[in-house]
Order: sequence, then C-alpha cells, then structure tokens
Amino acid sequence: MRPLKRRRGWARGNRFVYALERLWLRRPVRLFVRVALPAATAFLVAHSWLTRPGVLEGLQERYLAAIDWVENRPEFRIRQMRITGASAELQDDIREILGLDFPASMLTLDLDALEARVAALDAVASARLTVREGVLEISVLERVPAVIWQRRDGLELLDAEGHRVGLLARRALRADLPLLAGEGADRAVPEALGLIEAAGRLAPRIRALIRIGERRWDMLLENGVRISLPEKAPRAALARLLVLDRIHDLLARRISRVDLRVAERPVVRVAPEALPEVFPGMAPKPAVMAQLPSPAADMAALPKGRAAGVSLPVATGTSASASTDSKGER
Amino acid sequence: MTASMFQAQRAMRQKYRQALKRGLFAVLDIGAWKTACFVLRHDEDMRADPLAWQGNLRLEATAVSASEGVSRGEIHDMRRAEKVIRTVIHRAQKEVGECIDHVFVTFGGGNPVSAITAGSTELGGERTREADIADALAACPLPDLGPGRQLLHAQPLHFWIDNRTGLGDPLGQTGQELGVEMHLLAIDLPVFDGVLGCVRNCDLDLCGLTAAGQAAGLGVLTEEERRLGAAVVDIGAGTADIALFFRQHMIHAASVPLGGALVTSDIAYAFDIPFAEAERLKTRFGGCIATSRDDLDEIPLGVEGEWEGERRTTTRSELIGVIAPRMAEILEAVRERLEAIEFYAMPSQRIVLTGGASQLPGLDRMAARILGDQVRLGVPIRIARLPENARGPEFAALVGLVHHVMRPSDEWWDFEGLERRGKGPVRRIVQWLASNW
Repeated sequence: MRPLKRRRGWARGNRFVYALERLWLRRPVRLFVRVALPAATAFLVAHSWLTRPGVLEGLQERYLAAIDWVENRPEFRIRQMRITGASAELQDDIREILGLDFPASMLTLDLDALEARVAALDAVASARLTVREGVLEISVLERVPAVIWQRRDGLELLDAEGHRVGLLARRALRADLPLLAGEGADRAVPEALGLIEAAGRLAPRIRALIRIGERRWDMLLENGVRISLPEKAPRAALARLLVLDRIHDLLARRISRVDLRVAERPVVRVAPEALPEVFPGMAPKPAVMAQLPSPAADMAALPKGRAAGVSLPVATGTSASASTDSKGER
Repeated sequence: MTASMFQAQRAMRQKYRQALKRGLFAVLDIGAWKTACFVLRHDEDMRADPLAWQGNLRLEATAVSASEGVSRGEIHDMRRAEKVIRTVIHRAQKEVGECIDHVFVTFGGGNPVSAITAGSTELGGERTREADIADALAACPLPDLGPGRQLLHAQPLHFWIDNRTGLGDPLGQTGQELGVEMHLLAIDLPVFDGVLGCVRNCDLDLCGLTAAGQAAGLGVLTEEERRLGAAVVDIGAGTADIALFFRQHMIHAASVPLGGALVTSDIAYAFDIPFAEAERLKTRFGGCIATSRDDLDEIPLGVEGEWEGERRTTTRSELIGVIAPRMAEILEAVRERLEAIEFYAMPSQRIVLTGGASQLPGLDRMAARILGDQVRLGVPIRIARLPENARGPEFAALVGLVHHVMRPSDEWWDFEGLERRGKGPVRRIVQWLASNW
C-alpha cells in the first residue's frame, strides 16, 4: 500500500468548479462557447457599428481613397507614351486605338490586353509594351509593304509574307511595288517575289502578276504580252523564256501571249493585228473581254500612262496551236 | 415481499442500461483510505483481447485520491466525501476528455446482514414459464433483517422442482412445484442513502451499488474457488469485508468495522508521531511476525514540531509489536464471523485475503494460525490496460466491480411481473411507464 498525498487547492472538489468543468466537457456546450458565441458577438458588434448612419459610406470613401492613393503613387504613374519602330501614321493609329489618357496608373492598365490590341493592327508585325520610369514604351515591328494586291474592291498593300499591311488609295502612290492580281494571290506572295527576281532584265517591264486558279501565275508585261507560267517550276520556265527572248527577240515581236504551261511545247499566240501578215487571208476577229478582274481605273495613273483604259486582252480567235488547258483559265 | 423494497434497485437497473447505451461510465470504490475510479468504455462492436475476460469493456482511465469523510464503513461527513468523489471524477474526466455521467459504486461496510430465504409455487405439471419463476420469487418470505435496512442484493441461488434441486435455470422444466432459494443482503439504510446522496450531489447517476465483499470475491477468487467454496476477506482501511462463495454464488456476506487505519492510529499513539508518518512507517517497515533480526533494525521516527534537534529512533520489532496485536484482533473478529455462519463446517475452507492491509508482510502466516490452514493472499485478476500502480490487492474490489458490471448477477428485481396481478394491456402500459419514467 502506497501512501496517498492529500492535495490541497482552492478548486479541489469545489462544487461550482466541478459543475462548470462537467458542463465544459459536453460537446454542444463547448461548440457553443467556442464557435457560436464568438461568431454571434462579432456579428452583433459589426452589425451595430455598420448600421450607424454614415459609417458604411465613410468606409467606402476611405476604401476608394486608399485605392486612389496607391494608384496615384509616382511609382505607378505613367506620364507619357513612347512608340518606337513605327511610322508616323502607324503611331497615330496606335495612339488612337489605345485611347489612353495620361497620366495613367500602371495598376489600372492591362498591358497584355493593350499589347494584343496593338498587335491586332494590320501594319504591326509584333508589339511589346513595357513601362519604364513612368513611360509606356511601345516597341513596334512594322510590316513592310512588298506588293500591291489588286482586288475587286480596291488595292491592298501586302508584306513579303502576304500579310495585309493596309489599303492603298491609288496605284500611283506606290508605283515602286509590283502589282499582283487574282484570287489567292496573297497566299503566294513569296513565290511572286521570286518570279519577279527571276525575271531579271524583264522585271522592269512587268505590269502585273496574275494568279490563275489559285495555283499558277500569269505574267503581264507592259507591252500587253501575257506569259502563262506553269504551276510547277515557273522559274525554270521563265529562265527559258529569257533565253528565247535573247536569241529570237521574242517579246519584241507582235505577239499577244506566250504559253509556257507545257514545258515540252511552248506556244506563242500571234497578236491579232499581225494575223493577216502571218497567215494571209485571215481576218482579225474582235477581242473578247476576259472574265478576269476588271483592271482598276488606277491603271490610268501609271506613270507612263500606257495602261490607260487597257483591259487585259485575251484573244479567243484561232491560235497557232490548240489551247491545251483551257479549263484552267476561267 | 413488496414491490416498494426494490424500487430503488429497479431504478438503478434502468440507469445501468442507460450507461451501457451511453458507452462511457465509471466504477468507483469509496473506501476509508482511498477513493478510486476506473473509467470504462463499452462498445458492442469492440473486440477486446479474446483472452481477457472483460469482453466489450475497455479501461480508459484510472484515478485515485485520498479519502475523507469515510471511516469504518460509513460516511460520516457527506460534504467531504463528495469533495473527494468530485476530485476523483474530475481527474478521470480530465484523462478521458469526456463527461462521466454514470457510476457503479462499491462500498465496504454498512453493517451488512445476510439471509437466506426460500419460496415456492405450484406448477401443476406444466412447463415452467418466466411468470412461474417470478411467482416463486414473490412467494419468498422476507426474513427479519432488522429496522432501517435497504436490500442490496437478492440473488436466486438455485431452483428446485419437486425433488430435483440445484437447478440453475428451471425454464421449460416440468413438475408439480417450483421452489427457489434466495440470498438477501441488506445494509443500513442511512449508509445506502449516504452513498446515493453523495453520488447525486456530484451530478452522477448511480447505476449500481455492490457490497465490497462480493466485488472483492469476483475480483480475486478463481472460478474453481467460487465453485468449491471460499471466503474472501477484503481488509481495507476502515472495514474488513467478508464474502462467502459457494457454487458460483455469494451465499453470505459480512463486515467487520476494523481495518488498516486502526493499525496506523495505533502506531501514531504508540510512538507519538503524526498520522502520515505512522502510515509511512507501517507501509515501509511494518510486518506481522517479528524475527530476532528485527531487533537490530533501527527506524528513525520523523517528528514534526518544536523538538527540531531531537531525533528519536525505534526498532522494527517494536513497530511489529504494535501492529501484530491489532492485526490479530482483526483476524480474530473475522474468524468469529466465519464461525458464526459455520464456515468451518463447509467442505472447502479456502480463505483468500486481499485489500490494502493484506499487504503487511507476514499476514498470511498470521492468518494461517488464526483463520485456518488454507489461506492465501489474493491479487486481482488482470485487466487489459490497467496501470501498474492499480494492480495491487487494494484494488481488488474495484476490479471485481468491473467484472460484476460486465456480467451482472441475476437479481430478484430483474424478473418481470413480480408485482403483476392483471394481464391487461392497460396494466402493462402503466407498468412500462412506471418503470421507464
């Protein structure tokens, strides 16, 4: 048997403390005191304070003021915008599309959205927006127009990849750029540029490149000669034409068309007015307008004025050779 | 016998079912020296150690505190006793983290009186039904237990039908006459009310009150001993409780209002030392039989008071000289009680000593001289999770009470229909309401 210690203490066996402790050991009581009571008290205090007149409005005001204060801190302020890499017109366009008022706060600007908006411009290849020392810097990579694309509803400027850069009011404004025509020409701009490069000494004489059936090119020269290039290896065909031209002075003759679509058998169509000469007894027939896009009136504004009123003539009369693939030309 | 006698017991049985349903309750031993408490959890689904006997009960916590206000088997200061109970329950609750609502109590003393009574009823050749058993129990005459008594136990010992005796369960047997022999145990009503009042004042529900003797018997005696017959003597601080077991049933209980606390006060008087110091000397150096070696053992007496420089010593044999006569007196009183019920005429005379005071060295040899040859010291059977410091013989009654709670003995008031005379449905509704509300 071990001796037991008699412990003393004010709470030892105290009836009130004992009852209180037993109460505390009951789960609902514990939950009530620990959760419900503080929650209810907090709610009541908050409610009675917030429902006093003016408190809620005051809080709102202070909240907004605090937000204002932070946003207008000089660290976050953007005083101006600087656009680099863009032409003056494009700069105006960007300013207009962003529509920002300065000074603005960095916190209220969504740079990503603004960047997307700038990049959505046709003339912009890519844009990057950064804020540095209170200046919104927009560095733009502008698309460079490489060709003019003639469509039914007007002229468009395309870059070297065929992406639209902008509209062009008149052909004469960008006489330095080659002219493309035909459906789907924008998707084959690199090929067209390659052809122009391959044309060599012929290049200055090209009036337009016409996309046929969205698969091959016709080259229209200034003297009205139309060169039909094959779908495959058009550059080789062009080189061959250059050789023919040098040897036979082909393009200087009175012909209306050179058909190179079948490599083994190039065909030359004699110009209608030369027909009686070549084939005595044959009368010239009237030319029929081709179902090609009508040439814009701007053609008249070509520097040399030679194309004024000239449609793209396609003779339908009997030619020296049978047309091999008339279904390609509509 | 009348129904009013066991209304308190019926109410406790109701609480017992509630306690099992709640799943958490405490067993409490209110002693003169210590008040101890085991917290038990009851779970039908729980599969405890299959070898352990406690079935679906699991020990959750233990708490012990020094008792106050209890001595010699009665509560003489209810407020202090309540304080102690509150302290113990507080500690137990703290350990479990839950509120304890139901307690089973074992209490030693209370001047228990045992009586055997018998009654019988006519069967008329029919099969025995439960109503017949109830009739036979109701036919038992109430022996004179003295004034101001409260029945604590009323256990049917065995039944007989005509000339066949020793039936454990007569249900379904046929015969002409069904008889029952019953053991009644009553304690003083003030003691019963005192315990009930203390427990109620602690906001607890009393689910059962068991005599310490029976509890100690269940905690210490082996199955064999209970069947062949044995007496358990639980020598506590305030009382020595005796319970006699035969054929698995307790057939007699008694209590001697002498205990270890008397020994301690004897030492305190003899050496003029404080009570706590006397207790220390008793537990550390005490014994029942002196040897020549003990003359040489010097024991310093710790004295508090003004003689600061003074140091007194005594010898161990002197200490034993104080303890031994008192222990002998207690054992003599026990022997007297055993002789009074003709224990020594029984086939088995096994005596098992347990309780806190049984730890005095040499007590078994002394008891063998006084009580008889077949004496052994009993230690309570093992309970899973019982801490080491609660495994001594002073916890015999408490461990036995756990056993008793798990397998409560059939009591008289467990049989339905004792007070039933009519069988109408209205009567049964009223009865149900009366027993449940």
